[in-house]
Amino acid sequence: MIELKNINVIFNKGTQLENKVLKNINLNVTESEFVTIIGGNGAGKSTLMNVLSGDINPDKGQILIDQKNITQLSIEERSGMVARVFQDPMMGTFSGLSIEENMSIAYKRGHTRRLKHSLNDQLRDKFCEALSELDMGLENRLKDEVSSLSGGQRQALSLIMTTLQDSKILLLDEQPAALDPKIAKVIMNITEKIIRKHHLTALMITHSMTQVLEYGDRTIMMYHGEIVRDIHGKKRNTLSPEDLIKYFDL
Amino acid sequence: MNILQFLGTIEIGLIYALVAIGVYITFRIIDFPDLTVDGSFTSGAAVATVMIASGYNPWIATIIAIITGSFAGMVTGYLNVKWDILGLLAGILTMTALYSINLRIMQRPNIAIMNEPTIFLSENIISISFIIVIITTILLTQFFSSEYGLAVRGIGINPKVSKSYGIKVGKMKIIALMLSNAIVALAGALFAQSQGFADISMGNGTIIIGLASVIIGETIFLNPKKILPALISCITGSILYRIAIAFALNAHGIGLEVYDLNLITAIIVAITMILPKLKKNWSAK
Amino acid sequence: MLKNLFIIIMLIFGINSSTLANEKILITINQFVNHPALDAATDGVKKALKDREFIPHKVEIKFDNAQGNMANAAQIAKHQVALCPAVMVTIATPSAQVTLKAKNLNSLLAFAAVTDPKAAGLIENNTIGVNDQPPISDLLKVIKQTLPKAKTIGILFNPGEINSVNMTNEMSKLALANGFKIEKSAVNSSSNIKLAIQQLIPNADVIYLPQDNLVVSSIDTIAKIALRAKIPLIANDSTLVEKGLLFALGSDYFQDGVQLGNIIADHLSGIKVTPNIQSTSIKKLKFNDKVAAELNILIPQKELS
Repeated sequence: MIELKNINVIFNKGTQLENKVLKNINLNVTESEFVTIIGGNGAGKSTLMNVLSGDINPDKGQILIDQKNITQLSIEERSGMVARVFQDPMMGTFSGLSIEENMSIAYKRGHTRRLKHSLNDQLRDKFCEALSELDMGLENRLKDEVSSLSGGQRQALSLIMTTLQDSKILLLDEQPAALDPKIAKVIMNITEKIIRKHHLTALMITHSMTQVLEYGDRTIMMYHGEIVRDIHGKKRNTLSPEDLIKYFDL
Repeated sequence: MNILQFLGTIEIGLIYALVAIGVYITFRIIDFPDLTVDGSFTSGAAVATVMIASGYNPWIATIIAIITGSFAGMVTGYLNVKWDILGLLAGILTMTALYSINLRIMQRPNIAIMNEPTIFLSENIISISFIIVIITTILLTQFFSSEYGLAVRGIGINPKVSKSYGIKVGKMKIIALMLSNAIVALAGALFAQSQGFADISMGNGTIIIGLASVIIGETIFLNPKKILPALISCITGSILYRIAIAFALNAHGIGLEVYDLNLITAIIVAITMILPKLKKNWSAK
Repeated sequence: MLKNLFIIIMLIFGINSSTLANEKILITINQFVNHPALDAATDGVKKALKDREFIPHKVEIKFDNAQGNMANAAQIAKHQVALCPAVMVTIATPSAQVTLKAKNLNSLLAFAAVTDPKAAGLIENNTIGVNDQPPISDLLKVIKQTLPKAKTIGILFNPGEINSVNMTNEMSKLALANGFKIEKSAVNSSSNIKLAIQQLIPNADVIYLPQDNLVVSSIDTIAKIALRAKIPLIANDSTLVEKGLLFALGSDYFQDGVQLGNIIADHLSGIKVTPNIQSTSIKKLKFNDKVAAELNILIPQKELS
């Protein structure tokens, strides 16, 4: 269970440009819940994600994962619990390395790295199995360099990489946004499939009104650093994107 | 060029191949412009010569020289990672401090070990250097295929994602700097033993030689990404660089006046880099 | 890629560009770096060989400059050895050392601009040379001649510069043996030059400046203070004399080169050369007349042999 308690983030504290980016955010995410987040520019969605990943330290408040306080942990220290897929497909993988080398790095998330060889046939079998979920044929291209993959393939690979080890929460920061619409759709479907299959707890930021309702169990709407709407269950099922837009007129 | 000159070229080229490899680890693998090497090369030479002059076994002296080099790399890494000093500056600071430290180690600007036993027992400098270079290459290839080594390569390519996969970026940087400077110090120890002396100015220009060798190698081998081909390209680049200088030394036989060895070698290196681009333009027409 | 390599290999072995007339003796010169003193030494060698009529008819000179780069110096040495020269001239210690390692037993190694050949490991068979130890005992002789009343020598030295330390120790040793008293003042940055020299002013009758970059760069300040206190300055570097020293006695690198050239000429003519390693025979003693006048000091004979 993920708990955010009274999270406050202030940019440019003490100056004229002081900006309260997150104001007293309280949020609980239960295990295997798939939450989508939407909001206008400057609403604080990315900041919320960065607080969870460790990129930003909150000025006030705590983050608890399974009752353990992780607020002071660095990105690396909490990486065993927090997995992330970035928006830029070029960013989420290691160019110049092969698919299997990328997956090998991902495989050691949350574990100590040692001097033993990073790849063996056992691991390769595991990787093939994981990649076959994508139906993209990547399992036959383990030794290919990642830069020979298309944007969509790279993004899909990033997703699979995060599932190679357990995580308490998976952060998805508009992961299909930089892809063309057809591929974006494929990626979203894969995302949903993977999350459901592995029962992952996930938080996804999206700008798309349709996506935010179509995928996931629960939707959070943010505005000026606050959570203004938290919708799940029956109410959410009956919502349409047009209804959502109305919610934006506050 | 006759065979003797060629062999002389190979001898120096092999020892400096280690410099090229060291520079490759910092400049290319972790994307860190490390200038410490002008200092750590001399440190390796200084430590090895002082110990040999004091009667220690030359192999032990060489190993201590390697360890000394790794300390130099650690200092640079620490300055950059812990104190946030720009990488380029951190390297310059360490290199500057090493000048005084090396002088202290040597107690004078020049020590000779002309008749002392070195790891090169008789005139087999090329074979022993070759074996050392091969062993270093094999060990490095193994290292960079390990979980640890792959993490080091990761931080050079994508520090942000590396962090999200739990790789301690700062620690890996320091490890790479230690590794690189240890290898460069090894080169210094070998060079000093092959020449029979260490001089405080021995390290001047080491970074330039290393970079030129790496660039020449990359140009010939078309930017290899995998570790083993990359290391081989460094070794080849170092030898080719020495051949380029040998050319410059022979140049006035063809009727040119050798006024500036540096200028002529710079021209040869530039031509090496321009040729592939010319070829590309030509075939595009 | 393989094609590139092939072309390179063909070029290497194709161009054997050392064309030498077979009758002439080959003399190679390996100079470590461009520097007025070292350039002068090379010129001196060439002049002596010219005067003895070895250049241009009997001898061919191949000159290479390592431009301060040790790896290049080593490669030059190997390169030159492969040409089978009769004499290998080296200018400056590092060039001499790399050449000693590279050469075969038949070539003669001839060095100049080396301060301590023994420490450099250059005392070997088939080696000749001129070393340029700063002539401190001779300097003391000149002090006794010009400043007969001087009792205490002050030394302004840089503990961070090994040459400065060595020369200071040498001067202290010899001066004490010659009945002088010694006072030392250490300086390691240009900001405390003034303080350091003012420390010496009360007790020193003459101040000695060992060779050191810090001293050289602050010579104007030092000279001004010393002159005002009416204390003469001396050193081993004659280029400093015009800046305000009373006098300097040191090696003249050009003359060192000439001396070496003559030794080589003797060797090539079959004349026996002893000793193998010779000290600078002609030392340059230079006085500053203006400073001498201001200090009311009489200048004795100018030439010291």
